[in-house]
Amino acid sequence: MPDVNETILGLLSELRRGTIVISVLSQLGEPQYGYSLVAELEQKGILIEPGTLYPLLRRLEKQQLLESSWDTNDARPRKYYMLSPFGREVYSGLCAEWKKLVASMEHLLKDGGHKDGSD
Amino acid sequence: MEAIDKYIYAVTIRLPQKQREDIRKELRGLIEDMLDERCGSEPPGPEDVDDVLLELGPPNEMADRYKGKKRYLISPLMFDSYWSTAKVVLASVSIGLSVIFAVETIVEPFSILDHFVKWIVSLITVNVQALGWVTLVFALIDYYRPADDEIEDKSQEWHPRDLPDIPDATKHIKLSEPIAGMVFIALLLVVCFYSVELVGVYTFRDGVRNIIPFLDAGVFNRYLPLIALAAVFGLLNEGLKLFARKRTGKLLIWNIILRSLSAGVLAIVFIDGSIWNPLFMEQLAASGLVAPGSGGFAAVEQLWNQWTRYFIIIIFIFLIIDIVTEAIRWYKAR
Repeated sequence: MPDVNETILGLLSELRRGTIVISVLSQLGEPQYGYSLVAELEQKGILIEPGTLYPLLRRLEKQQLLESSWDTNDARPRKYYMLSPFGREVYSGLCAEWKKLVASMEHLLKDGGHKDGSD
Repeated sequence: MEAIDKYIYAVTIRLPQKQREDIRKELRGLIEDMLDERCGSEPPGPEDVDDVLLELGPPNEMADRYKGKKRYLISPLMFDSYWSTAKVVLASVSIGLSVIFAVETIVEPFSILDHFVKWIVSLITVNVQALGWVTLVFALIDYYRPADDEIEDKSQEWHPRDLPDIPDATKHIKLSEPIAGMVFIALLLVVCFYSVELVGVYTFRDGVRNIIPFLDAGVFNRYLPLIALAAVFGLLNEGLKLFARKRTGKLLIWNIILRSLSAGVLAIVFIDGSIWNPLFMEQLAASGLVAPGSGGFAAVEQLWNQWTRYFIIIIFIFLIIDIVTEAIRWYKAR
């Protein structure tokens, strides 16, 4: 028998992977650099490895969802990312879809969630 | 902080030149931020650096995430075609070298040990070379392949109408046909490049085997680039069949073009009369096979002269036979 907790963890990480992009976009209304974003997401309960986030930010920039600029005033130069106008549009569309998805899932779990054959 | 420099170098060296500087700066900032968080105002020690780098993961995986595609010499996408091509090439080379070994042993049975050693050595070196070239070509194709996410975009345009027809037995080209063709061309090529002097008349007298070559190896070798070109046209022709696997009008037209090109290039080689062994008749006489001055000698001499003069015509007759058979097969398959 496979371990229940292990299986749950595996499936959960798959679910989380699908939510990474929308989580990142949600926090980039204001400019942020990579590590501050990691900290902020972590604080709000979304764990993301910096090694995953940094390449992802570049990819989103390449897809023109994000804009970036270097801040070299500080002792440590930092690359700040924020939503582009196109990114804002995509994000709000994505949010609407997300809400629909959550509603459908709620519905599914409420209706079918207890049919485990015990009654 | 030598480890940090090494880590950043190991990541960026795997990335395209124009992104390196930017990613270098960004990664350094990230690592310093992570160290700050771990150690606060304390200066970080080597273990802290190690921990942070371990958290970031192996540099090759980090670089893969930046590139958006995994690094392969030959990616799984290409591996099947790579492997079947490699098998055909290696088999052809091995068969070719073995044929040479067999012929050489028949000609000089007493030096069988020498031939055997030469055969084993060439089996290894030539096969390694052949595999190297095939791998290089596929690796280059793979290197210039677009990133995985760009490929996915294309596959979304797929439609059921794009599904290939289930092959019709009559239209279908058997796999063995083009592969046999390729092996045959490879064999000829090996003979042309390594042992053209073995193509000739074999005599056996007083326990000594002797070959009277048809061609003048010195002159022939100057034409090797053209021979290779003719072989390339031939291989392309077989490759198209292997790829299409179905007789169509378009394939027939390409077959005719490629075969004609191949025959045309061969004709350029054989139009030069000096390519034939100029001492052929003298050597034949010396071997004692035919006595000079006899009726047989005159007949052979006439045959030899006509053969060398009309060889080009023979090439074209074969070309026409080839084209006609292909056309008939295509016509039947319609």
